Amino acid sequence: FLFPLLPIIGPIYPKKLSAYGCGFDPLGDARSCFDIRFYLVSILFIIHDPEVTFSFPWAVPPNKIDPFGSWSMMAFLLILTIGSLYEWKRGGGRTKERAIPTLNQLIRHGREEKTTHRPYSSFWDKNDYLFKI
Amino acid sequence: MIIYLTEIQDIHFFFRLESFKEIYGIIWVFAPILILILGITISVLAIVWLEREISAGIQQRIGPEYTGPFGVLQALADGTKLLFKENLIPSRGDIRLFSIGPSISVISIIISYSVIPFGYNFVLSDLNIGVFLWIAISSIAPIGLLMSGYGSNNKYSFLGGLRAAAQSISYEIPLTLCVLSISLLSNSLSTVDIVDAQSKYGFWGWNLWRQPMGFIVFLISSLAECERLPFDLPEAEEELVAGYQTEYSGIKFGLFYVASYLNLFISSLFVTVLYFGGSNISIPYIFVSDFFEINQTYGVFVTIIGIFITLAKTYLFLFLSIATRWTLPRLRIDQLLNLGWKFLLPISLGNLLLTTSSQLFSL
Repeated sequence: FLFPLLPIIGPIYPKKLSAYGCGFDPLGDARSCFDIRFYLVSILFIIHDPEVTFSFPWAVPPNKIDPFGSWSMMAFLLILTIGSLYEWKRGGGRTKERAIPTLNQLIRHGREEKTTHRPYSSFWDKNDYLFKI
Repeated sequence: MIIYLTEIQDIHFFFRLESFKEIYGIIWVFAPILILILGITISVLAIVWLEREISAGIQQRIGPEYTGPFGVLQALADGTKLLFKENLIPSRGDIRLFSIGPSISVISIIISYSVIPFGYNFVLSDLNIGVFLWIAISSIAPIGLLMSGYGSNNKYSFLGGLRAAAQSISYEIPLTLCVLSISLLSNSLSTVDIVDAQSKYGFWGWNLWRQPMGFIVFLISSLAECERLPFDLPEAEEELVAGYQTEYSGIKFGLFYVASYLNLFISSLFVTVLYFGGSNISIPYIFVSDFFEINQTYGVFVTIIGIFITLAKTYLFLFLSIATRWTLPRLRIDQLLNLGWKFLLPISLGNLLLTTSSQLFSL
């Protein structure tokens, strides 16, 4: 019942509700864009989830099936395995190209954006956007 | 006149009986649920204390020692403090997503406890799809994390939420395939049946010996699901402050804190149930049944022994998880995803095919 009294007890400071670590109004929206690889992980998950989902009725006794049923499931898993190997070969899961930026790198990158001059142009050209996986 | 009075009295009496019967039935439905939740809460307090004591031991310093004997009430004091902290909401965040996220994480994890057999047939609800229920529910918790990260409108939180979702769905596939292998061996998805299947040959009947690769993959995957070091990228204190938890304070942060330990506890329970025989008390080369001939007459004694054995095994894995946290460095996100998709997934799939082959030959 004290809640109606809260505005009287303590004044509301706007800075308290600001985003973490900000002494000023945050620039832009934090949800503008993100690395495509997160989306790619979701796609991979969608491929393998039906694999798992279809395997459960096959493994449980009320649906215990004869060798024909087992080999059918083998064929199904084989198709998915071929797809996985193809995706592996194509490099869909390859994420070694970029290291994870540390906080210092993020701060440095934020500073660099303020100026047109880039002293480490060879490095920054390879990391052209802020968010990395 | 006398007959009428008698009939009226009888009607009142039976009406009262029916009312009591209903009340009694309702009480009996809620009592085990409340007891289970109380037990879980006490376990979380114990785990928090364990983590601090074990980390203190590993780092050669003193853990909590002032609140209560040996500092066991420290977690309770911390929880009370969180209750009294101000509940801040970021001004530019999405209030609904921000508020609902922690609740989804906690609720989805607590529901999973209903299928854990703590003793012989001592389970809240023996569903014939108990393990499947746990897998389905563990898919829901990352949604809460993603909602929290998105609703905070903070770059650190957003990236933490994305990492949490990517990590969780990456390691869910190997985890599920391992569980599938266990179901193949046990011919059931019921946790009670899985425990029973492991008690046929005593100690050597545990699925640990029949699924060694599955056990290792399951351990690693469950550690990643719980976001424990070396898999704590969604929090990653040196990079993301606290990940999706950055903007949280007070009881909402407390919910996230509790959710992580609840998740750890239930993962340890499932390792015990799926691979270590659950409440099976067999010790190699010792015929325990001879020592406990009393078992057959005292049911409560058997139940207590079962609970004790289950929790003892579970705390072994809790110790492993806690010790792992304070001894290993964090992985990079590319190493994390490579481990999940390129190593654990093929290994668990191969393990499943191997199990299938052995089952076919045994048929």
